[in-house]
Amino acid sequence: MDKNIHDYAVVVGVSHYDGLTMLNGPAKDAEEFKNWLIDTKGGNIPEENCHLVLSTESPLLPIQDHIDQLFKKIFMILKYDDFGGRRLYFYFSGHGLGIEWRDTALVLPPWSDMMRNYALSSSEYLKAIIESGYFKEVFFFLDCCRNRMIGVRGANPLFGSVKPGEGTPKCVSYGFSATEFDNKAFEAVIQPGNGSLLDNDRTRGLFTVALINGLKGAAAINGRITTRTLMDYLHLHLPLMALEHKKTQIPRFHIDSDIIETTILEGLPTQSIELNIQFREKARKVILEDSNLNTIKNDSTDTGPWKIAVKKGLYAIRYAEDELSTTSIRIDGTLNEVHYEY
Amino acid sequence: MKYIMNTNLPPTEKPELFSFSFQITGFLKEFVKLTLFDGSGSLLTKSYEKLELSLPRGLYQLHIQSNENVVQKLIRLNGNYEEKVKSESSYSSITGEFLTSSHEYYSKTADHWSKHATIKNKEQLSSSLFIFFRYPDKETKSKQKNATKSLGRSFILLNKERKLLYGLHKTNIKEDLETGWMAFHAPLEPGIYYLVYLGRNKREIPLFVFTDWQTQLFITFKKTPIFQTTRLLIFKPNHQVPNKSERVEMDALLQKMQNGIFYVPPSILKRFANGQLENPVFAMAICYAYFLCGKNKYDNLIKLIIENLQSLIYKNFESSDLKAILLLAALHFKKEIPYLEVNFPCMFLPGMKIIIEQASIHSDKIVLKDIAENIVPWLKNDSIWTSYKPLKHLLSDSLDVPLYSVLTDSPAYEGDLSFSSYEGADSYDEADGNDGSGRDYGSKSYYTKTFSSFESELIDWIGQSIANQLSIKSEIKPSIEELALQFQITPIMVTERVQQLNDLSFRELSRVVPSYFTITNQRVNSENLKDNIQFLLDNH
Repeated sequence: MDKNIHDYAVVVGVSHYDGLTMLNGPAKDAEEFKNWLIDTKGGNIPEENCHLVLSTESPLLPIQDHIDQLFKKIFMILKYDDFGGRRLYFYFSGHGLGIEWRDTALVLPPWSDMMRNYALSSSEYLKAIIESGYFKEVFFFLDCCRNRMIGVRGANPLFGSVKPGEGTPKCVSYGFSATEFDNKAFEAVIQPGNGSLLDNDRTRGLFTVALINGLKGAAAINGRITTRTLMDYLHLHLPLMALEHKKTQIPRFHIDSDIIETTILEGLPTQSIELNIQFREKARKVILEDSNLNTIKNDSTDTGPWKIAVKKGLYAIRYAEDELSTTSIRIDGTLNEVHYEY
Repeated sequence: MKYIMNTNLPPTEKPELFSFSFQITGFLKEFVKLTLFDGSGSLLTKSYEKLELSLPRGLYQLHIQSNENVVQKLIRLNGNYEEKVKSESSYSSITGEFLTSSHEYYSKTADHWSKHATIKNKEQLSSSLFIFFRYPDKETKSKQKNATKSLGRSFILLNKERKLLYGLHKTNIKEDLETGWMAFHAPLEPGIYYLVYLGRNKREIPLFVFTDWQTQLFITFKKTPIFQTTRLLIFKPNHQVPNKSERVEMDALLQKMQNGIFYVPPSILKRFANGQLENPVFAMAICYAYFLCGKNKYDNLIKLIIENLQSLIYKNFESSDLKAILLLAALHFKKEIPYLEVNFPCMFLPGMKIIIEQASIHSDKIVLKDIAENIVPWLKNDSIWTSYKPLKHLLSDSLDVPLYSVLTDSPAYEGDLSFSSYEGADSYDEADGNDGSGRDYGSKSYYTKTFSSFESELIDWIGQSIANQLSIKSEIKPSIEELALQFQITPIMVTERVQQLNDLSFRELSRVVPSYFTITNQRVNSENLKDNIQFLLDNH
């Protein structure tokens, strides 16, 4: 498959901070997102178009200039490219502070109480990228908190245009934020807050885990992932994932366009998946149904384990005589084989 | 009733439709959000309290989201469907029916001591302050082997003049160390008071006592206070039958605000607008939530609520929250900004923030003074309630007796027990509810410093931020007002910091120029800073 040579990406993962607690997930999250971007089955971007920035502790990097230089590099290529750019992905994983409803300060390593503006303003970056006029679509994915702090203003980008570029009016942008504005749910003792899971090397941002799963196909409907199907997927799955870890996290989306639905990826194979169901009880009649309540199989548990070819979607399984025993099986399409015990 | 297509079906087929009705009943039903997804995972519809629509046969997933909880329900729609589900109970620091966290041993105690003063020589006043600290439950308390000290330890209460009123020690409180609760109840004149915590991670909370009302403060502990669980309620002590559902509704609204969700159920708006509810703090919470949600559907109702609020607290017009609400109303209705002088903090943090923001924009109309201005750099942002790191000079003025005796009810310690040396006495770990896992600002260094060490710094973060800004040579120089707007502080605060920077020697100035910008010579930065400071002062 031909690479999407007109697509570009800047991916930032910040774990180290001067005045804030260290995070364990951003480096791995950013790498995973980059891997999806350059994957032929994913974003399919040439690796040289995809810029990954990971933080270091000594010296404390990156500073704003490092990130802005990458944008400059992209703009310099596009300046001499007659086609221009098609899509820009910007991904940030690290500490974040909410500024306004649509603006998040993306906190960089030198941030401290004293250096409290050492953060990127997501809305100003988005504006400057759109006004560069080089892109038709801009995607922002921000895996960070958005609670507010007095006197914090994210910095404007160091790059900018004298006047908005020609392509500016046609550019559509989509922002996917990991959480609601001003969100910090420290309500119950057992439920301390939002964010990533603390689990040594396997620490990951919940939003990024759900995002990548969705982009890998779980958010596809009929082989197509759109901004809407991705939003729906995150709305459905992120709160449940968070709940499993006794956290509350509701994603938030911003669309700066009349075009609500843009295709992110299409042509994903609607492959047949093997659903392998094992039964705990014997001599019970079980019914498996698809999302339209068509019966796929109706048989005794003694005929198990069942191996059934299914497609991506929601299924229900129950004992024939007991409708209250119904439970769901969601096949998200990212695995070739799914095991389920009933 | 809406009709929604099932996206799983080919568009040419006309599916049979069934009516679908799902409703939440019981306490707080208005606060429960319902989101319905079809079998393919597409979001079909969302609403609070109930869903009513027509749907084709199929599998559906419903998210039932109360404040701190999301429950998923699978629906097998094979005919007309109607279900009513009772809302689930909730967790809160407050005590009351419906809350799983209440526990009789806390609720009965809180109820009793809210009606009986815990201090001696109390006057008969219609206004009072009730403070109740508790553990999540007695089992949790029993596991806290080292937490044998009083929950009131390290707390003092200051009056409007910031003079010491009470230490929350055994003379003034009632407590049970076994089950883990502490109650403090004192009749007080209406006005502003300050509850100060002097343990590790010091904090101060402003509390306003309204005429004829009891202000109630609840905090859950786990070794140390978890300030994020703070709840402030208001209660009419002389009411024969207190409105329990109102209390829980108010708690639910506050909890939603704590989670960044500004939503007021229309039924509550209507009740307040019709004058059926008379709790001023609840009315304030409603006003804040309504103005912060940015919608205008119920503008007429909110106007009535503000009128009702003003008549409810007509004796307490000095309330900073009322001023903040009038300011928010002026912004919302695009009216002229009122002249406001704010001398002490709001109880609600969103109120404090809007006053600070607008004071930097309309410095001629909104004036922050005294403590309201001094606390701005030290505001904490982990609760909807205003709280901040207490300022030492404001505290020490208030203490006419040695701190140790205030906090422990013991004879004064003969040695030098200064403010900072007391800090070391409270050595157990802070359990502030932050497990460090959130992608959130954690307190790493500055908040844990002692006051004495902080005061050795040349300038505070505002001064440092201004120094950063001014150490860059630029043709366009910012004005005092522009800097105030940028840092969301008042012009007076900017002027003070600029003056402070101006008073530093050149050598001292070179210590405050940013160290991260190593590209430019440190001396050049210092010279830029000196020039820009002079320019600002000359043109002010």
